[in-house]
Amino acid sequence: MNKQRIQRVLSRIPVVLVMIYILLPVVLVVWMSFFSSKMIIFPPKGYSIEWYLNLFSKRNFVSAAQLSVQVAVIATIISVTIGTLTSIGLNQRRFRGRELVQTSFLAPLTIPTIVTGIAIYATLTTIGQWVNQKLVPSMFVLIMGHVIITIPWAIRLINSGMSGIDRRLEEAALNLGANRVQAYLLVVLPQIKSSIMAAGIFTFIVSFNNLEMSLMLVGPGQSMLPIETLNYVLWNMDPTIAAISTLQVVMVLLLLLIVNKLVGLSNVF
Amino acid sequence: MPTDVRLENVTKSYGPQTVLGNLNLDVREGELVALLGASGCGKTTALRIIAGFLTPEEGRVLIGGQDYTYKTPNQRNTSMVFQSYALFPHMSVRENVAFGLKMHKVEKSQIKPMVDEILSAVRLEELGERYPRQLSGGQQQRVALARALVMRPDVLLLDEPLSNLDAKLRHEMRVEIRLLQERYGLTTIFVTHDQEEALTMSDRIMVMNKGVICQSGTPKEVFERPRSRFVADFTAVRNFMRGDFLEDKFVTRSGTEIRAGDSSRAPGTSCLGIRPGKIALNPPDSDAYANVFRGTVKIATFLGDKVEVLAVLPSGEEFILEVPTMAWDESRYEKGKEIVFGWKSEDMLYLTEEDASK
Repeated sequence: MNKQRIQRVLSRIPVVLVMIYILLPVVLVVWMSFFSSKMIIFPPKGYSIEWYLNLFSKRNFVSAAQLSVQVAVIATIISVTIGTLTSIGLNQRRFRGRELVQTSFLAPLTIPTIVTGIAIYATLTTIGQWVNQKLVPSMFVLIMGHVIITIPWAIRLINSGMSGIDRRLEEAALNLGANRVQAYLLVVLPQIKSSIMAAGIFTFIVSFNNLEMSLMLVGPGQSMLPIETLNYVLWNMDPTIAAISTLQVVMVLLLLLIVNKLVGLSNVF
Repeated sequence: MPTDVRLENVTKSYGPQTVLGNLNLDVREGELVALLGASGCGKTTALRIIAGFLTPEEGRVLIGGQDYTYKTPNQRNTSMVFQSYALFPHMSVRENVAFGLKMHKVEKSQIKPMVDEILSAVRLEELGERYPRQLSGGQQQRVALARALVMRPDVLLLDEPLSNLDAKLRHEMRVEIRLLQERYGLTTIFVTHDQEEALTMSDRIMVMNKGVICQSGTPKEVFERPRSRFVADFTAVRNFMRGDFLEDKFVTRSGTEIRAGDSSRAPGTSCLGIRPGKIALNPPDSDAYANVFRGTVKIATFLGDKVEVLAVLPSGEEFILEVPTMAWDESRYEKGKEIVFGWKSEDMLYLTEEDASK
């Protein structure tokens, strides 16, 4: 038996192990969502789609999901727009302290989100008392809170795409008679289309899955999907939670498929 | 329409570093001028100032007699071909070429024939629907040229356009660029570090060093009569003898006496130069060969149709000779053997050590 073949097989083992480690939870969750018993037990006694029906019959889950999507979409649009403009600015020319500015955009990632959430809540409550206005909770603050945690991702991803493109392209466009805006819209932005897509997906997922910021800033009587999920698991042990998770997995898969259709996934990540 | 270009006392620096110090440059209508110099000499900076990507701190940029110093790139009708070509990757060849016309709001019905014409001029009619990544280096180069030429620019600017091509293609493109330039009568400024490119393609060469032009003239003038050691070095002169005139002779630092007339011949000369190809092996006994030396072979390198010989005089002075392979008898001139060589006075170059214009 030749040594090379053995080496090749051996070198693949870690890859397979890591793949299992990553994918097993997802597969298990999907599997469990179809268990029929009221408690999650192995081996399953039978299968049903009861928990999916249960999910849609519960109004609070549906409205929480709606709010989550709403907030995530708006937060994504805002942070991708700001991220794109920031990257243009950062790559316009090398200025003193560019690295510092670039790094400081990642600062929100270093603070635990729950702390940021509390800080925003406490500060705005106090300011609200001074100006005699109720600032929190409000939809605006909820969305902006999400923007704070999503914007580092947007800037990071778009900026890395932007710094990889040939600066001469922009100059060529100017040279051929385009003005600055045209040069960006027609020549530079198409080059980072896939980075913008990647940033969009990432930002959406980060916002959609966020619990801590939402917990602090959501209004009374409102709820978002991660909060509702947490509430549910405190009191119930049935596979409804697995059903929610499965739907989230499906949603992300759909998003990736759409992006694949639009720009090709291999260009995105 | 093609027009003349002038730079008047242009100064540009990056921080404390002066890249262009008082540069003056004059390109006539329809002329192809090569800016020749090593990297960092300021030649690309000069080009970028003409295109409007950079603004000089002092001086003026005149295109067709009008002051364009502070105009933005899109207010000038200068077309640049970039070293990296800078083709738009998300556009087909046709879209790349049509881009400038669209930006200038040319009627849609007129764009197509203009693009067709220029694509056939650069022999790319078949490849209009391809994308840049599907093209070879030479084809990309032609798209870049077509994209620039279709604008019928006042000035065509070429930034090292051949440096990304292999040797064979480079030779072809030299001729092709020259033919297109003549066909459209374009005023062209061409930046290169390759003396051969500059000599073969241009009407006039301007040799740049440290941000100033140290010599300009026709390729023949520059090649045959370089004024400074720098220019000579850049045009493949390889034998330099530094020294001073002493009465009717020139004495090098190692004490070799060379018959070069007296200092009135070329005031300011502090260095003599001779091309390796101009040194003859066993020169005939005639007055034309005023300088004949006896030395020994240090090393001989076979280069195909010629042999490059490093010969050393008893004084230690070294010379590089190029001898046609046919005239080279290996057994007679092996290492350490005696060799007699000399050159005609008229082939000797009288050079200043530093650039005269400084």
